Amino acid sequence: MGIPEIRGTTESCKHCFMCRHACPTFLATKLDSHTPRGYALLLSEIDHGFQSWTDSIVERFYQCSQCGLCREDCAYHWAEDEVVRNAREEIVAQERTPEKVRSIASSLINGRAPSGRVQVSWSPVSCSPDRKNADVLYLPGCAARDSHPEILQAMDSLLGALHADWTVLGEEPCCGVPLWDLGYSAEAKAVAKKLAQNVHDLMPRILLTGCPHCYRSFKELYPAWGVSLPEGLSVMHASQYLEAQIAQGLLKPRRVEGFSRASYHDPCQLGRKMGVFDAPRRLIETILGSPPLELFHSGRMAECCGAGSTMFMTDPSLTRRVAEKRIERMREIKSTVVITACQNCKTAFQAASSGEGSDVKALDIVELLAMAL
Amino acid sequence: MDQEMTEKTGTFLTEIQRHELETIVGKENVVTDEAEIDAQSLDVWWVTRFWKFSDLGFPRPFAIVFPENTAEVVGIVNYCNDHRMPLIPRAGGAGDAGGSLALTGGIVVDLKKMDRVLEINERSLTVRAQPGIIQKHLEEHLNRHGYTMNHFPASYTTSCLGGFISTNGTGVLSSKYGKLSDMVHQLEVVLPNGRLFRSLPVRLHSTGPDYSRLFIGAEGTLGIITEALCKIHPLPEKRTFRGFLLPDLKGGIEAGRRIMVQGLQPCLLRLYDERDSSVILKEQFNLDFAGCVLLIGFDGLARIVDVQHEIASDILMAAQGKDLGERPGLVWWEGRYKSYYPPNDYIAYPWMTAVTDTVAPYEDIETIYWAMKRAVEEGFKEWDATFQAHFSHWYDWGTSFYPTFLLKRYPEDRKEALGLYNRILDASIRASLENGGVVNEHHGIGLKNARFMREVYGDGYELARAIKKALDPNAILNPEKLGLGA
Repeated sequence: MGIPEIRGTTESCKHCFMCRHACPTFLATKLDSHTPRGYALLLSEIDHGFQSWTDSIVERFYQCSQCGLCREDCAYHWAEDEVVRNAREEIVAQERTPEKVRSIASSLINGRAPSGRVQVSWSPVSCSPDRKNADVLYLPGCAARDSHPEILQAMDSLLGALHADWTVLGEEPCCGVPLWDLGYSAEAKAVAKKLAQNVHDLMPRILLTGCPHCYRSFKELYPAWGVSLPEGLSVMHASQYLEAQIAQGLLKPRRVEGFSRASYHDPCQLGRKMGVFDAPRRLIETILGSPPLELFHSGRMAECCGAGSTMFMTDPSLTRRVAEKRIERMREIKSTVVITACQNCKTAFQAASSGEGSDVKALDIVELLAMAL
Repeated sequence: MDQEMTEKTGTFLTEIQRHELETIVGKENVVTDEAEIDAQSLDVWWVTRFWKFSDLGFPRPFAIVFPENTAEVVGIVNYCNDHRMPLIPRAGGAGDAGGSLALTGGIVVDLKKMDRVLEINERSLTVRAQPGIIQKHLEEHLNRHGYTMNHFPASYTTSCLGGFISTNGTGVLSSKYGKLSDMVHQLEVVLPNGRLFRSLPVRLHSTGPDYSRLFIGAEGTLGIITEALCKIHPLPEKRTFRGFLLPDLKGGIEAGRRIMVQGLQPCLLRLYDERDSSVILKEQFNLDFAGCVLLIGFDGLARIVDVQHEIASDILMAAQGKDLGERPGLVWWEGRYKSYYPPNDYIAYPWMTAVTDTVAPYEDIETIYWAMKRAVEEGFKEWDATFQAHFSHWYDWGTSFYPTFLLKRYPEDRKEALGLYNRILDASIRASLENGGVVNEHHGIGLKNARFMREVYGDGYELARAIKKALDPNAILNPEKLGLGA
C-alpha cells in the first residue's frame, strides 16, 4: 500500500520518457507533470526527501484518468496507473486530499451518488426491485443512475422485450472502484462488501451491469480484495449479455438507419483493462448492418475520453479537454456519432461536444439497441 | 503558487511579469506550479539525473510558458529581450546533454502546443509542420497518407520535430535518409530580436549561403524554430534486413566503406564492436554471436532492394563475413525501441554513463575508436570502466560511431562522482579530437559538450561567438549552451 508498494515502478519510470506520446491527459495539456514519467519523478523525489506534497503536486495526482494506456504502450508494461493510485493512497493517508475528492468519497461511502445527490430511486417498467432469485440482477452503476436515466430506460425496454426474469436493487451501493481509484482503498473494500452482501441476498444467476467500472470490480478486484460473490454467478457487461441474446435468437433487432458514420469508442475499463472488444462491435454491426468506424488508436490502444477515475467529477474541465482530443479522432474519419459502452464516456463526450453547432453526438450502446426494437 | 515557487526555488516571477506573459499567451499557458517546474527540469543526461537527486541544489526555471503560435513566440522573445530574461526553448526535453536546463533561471518556452501538421505536399513530397509535434505523431499522420519521414531515432516516441532540428538529430535509417540537415527544406525562425526569419523555400540553391543552416543544430541559441518544411517519402514497397558476422572491427569498417563508396544505399547499416555485440545484441535481442555483427537493410522499390542486397552480400562475403540470414536484422528492427525501456536499458541509471558520438573520415575512424577505448578502459581501470560502440551512420566519405562509457560503481560522494564523470568524458572526447575525430552529438551538445567546442572548432570558434553576439546581443537565448557562453 502506498509508496513502498510501487517503488520498483517509480524508480524504473522516473527517467523514462518513452510512453509520453500515448498519455491522453498529456495530449490535452502538454504538461510533463501529467505524464507517467512526471508522476514517477515527483513520487520518487518525495520518497527520497527531495520534494513534498505541495498543493500543485497533489492536484496533478488527481488529474490522471488511470486509463492504463501508458502501461499498454510500455514495452515492459510497467503499471504506471498503479503508481498514481498508490500515490493517492498516500495522499489520503496524509489527509492531503483535495476538497472535491473528499466530497465525492464521502458521498460514495455514505451511499449517495458521486455527485452528492441522494441516489435516484428507480422503478423499472418491466420488473420490480429487490426480487430474490431472479435470473438477472441488473446494476446500472451509481453514475448511470445519477446522470443517465436514458440508459436505464433503454435497458428496461430491452429486458422487457426479452421477457427477462430480472430485478434491480432498490438502493445500489457503490461497487468500490471509484473509491479505490481515488485512494480510499479500505473504504472501497467496505462498500464492496456491502454490495456483495446485497447480491448474496438476492441470489441471481446473472449479475448484469452497463458500467465497465462495476464490471471490472466484480470480475477482477473483488477476488483480489477477498470480497466474494455467490458461487456460480455469471458477471456480464451489457454489451456481452445483449450480444449473446441476439446470437441465441432471443432478440431480433431491426436495422437502424442513419448511422453510417458511427464509430465505436472503447471504454478503457471494458476494453484495455478487461479485454472486451468484440462483443460491442458485433452488436453494433448487427444493428447497423456494417461494422462501426474505427477511431485512430482503438482497441487496446484506444485513447481515454478523460472521464476515468471519476475525473469527470473531480476535474470536469480537464475531462472536457481530453474528450475533445478524442473527438478530433472522430472528425479525422468524419464520424458524426460515437457509440460507447460506458456512461462516463458518454458524459465526457457530451460535455465536450455540447454547444451550438456541435457536429458530433454520443450514444450508449444500450440506447442504440433500444432504437432497434 | 507564487509562494510555493519562492519557497522552493528562491526565484519567481513578479505578479507584473506573470501578468505580462499571460497577456501574450493567455493565463493557462503560463505555468509556475511546483509540479510542472519540477517535471520539466530534467532531460536524460546522466548528470542532470544524478544532480537532481542530490543535495547540491538544482537550477530551475521561473516559469514554463506555452505559446500556441508564432506571434506568441515573437511576443515572448520581445518580452524577454526587454527584461533581459533568459529564455530556454524546449520541446520534448529528452536531450542527452542538459540542453534545456535553465542554468541561469529564466523561462522555458515549451513548444509542445505548437504541434500541428500544416500541409502535406504530395507532388514535391514535403510536409510542413510545427516544432512541437512528437515525431511519432508526425510519422503516424504521414503514414495514414501513405508517406513517411524515415526519421526513427531512439527518442522517436517522445522527442519533437523542433528538438530534432535543433540538435541536427539522426535516426537509425540515416545512412540513406540522412540527418535532419538533409531533411529540412525550409525553416521559419523567431530571431532573438523578435524578427521573423523564413529561409528560402527550397533546400538547394545558390542564392547566397543557406541561412537556415544557422539554426539546424543550434539548440535554440540563435533563434526559436516555429515551422519547418521537411522532406517525406512514399512508404517503401519493400524493406528487408540481413545480418552478417565479421571477423573483426577492421574488416567490418572496410566492408561498410566499400558498400558506401560503391554507391549502394542501405537504409540500415550498423556494425557492432565485440562488446556491443555481446551486450546489446545478446542481452537485449537474444542474438548470440561471437565477433562483430553487421546489420544491413535496404528499402524502396522491390527490384532495387533485391539487387542492392545481392551486391552488399557479395561485398560482405568477400570480407569473410558469415551470412546470418534475415532474422537478426528483423529482430533488431522490430525491437529497436525496447532497449530504451527500463529495466532493459543497457545504460540504466544509476550506472554512470555517457554517449560520446564521433564522426570522422574512413582513414581515421578506427584509430579514433581504439584511442577512445584505451582512454576509458585503461585510464579508468580502477573503476572497471567499459567502452563499447556501434557504427550506425555511414556516408561515402566516413562514418559515425556511437560509443558509450559505463561505470557500474563510482564514488559515493556526489561531488567526487561528478568529478570522475567529467574526467572520463574529457579523456574520451580528447582522445577523439587528438586523432582527428569530430564530436558528433546529435543527442545534444548542450552543457555536456559545451566546454569542448573551442577545441573542436579552433579558430572557427570565434566566428560562432561572433554570430551569437550579433544575433543575440543580450544573450537571452539558451544561455551557456553550445559553448557560446552566457
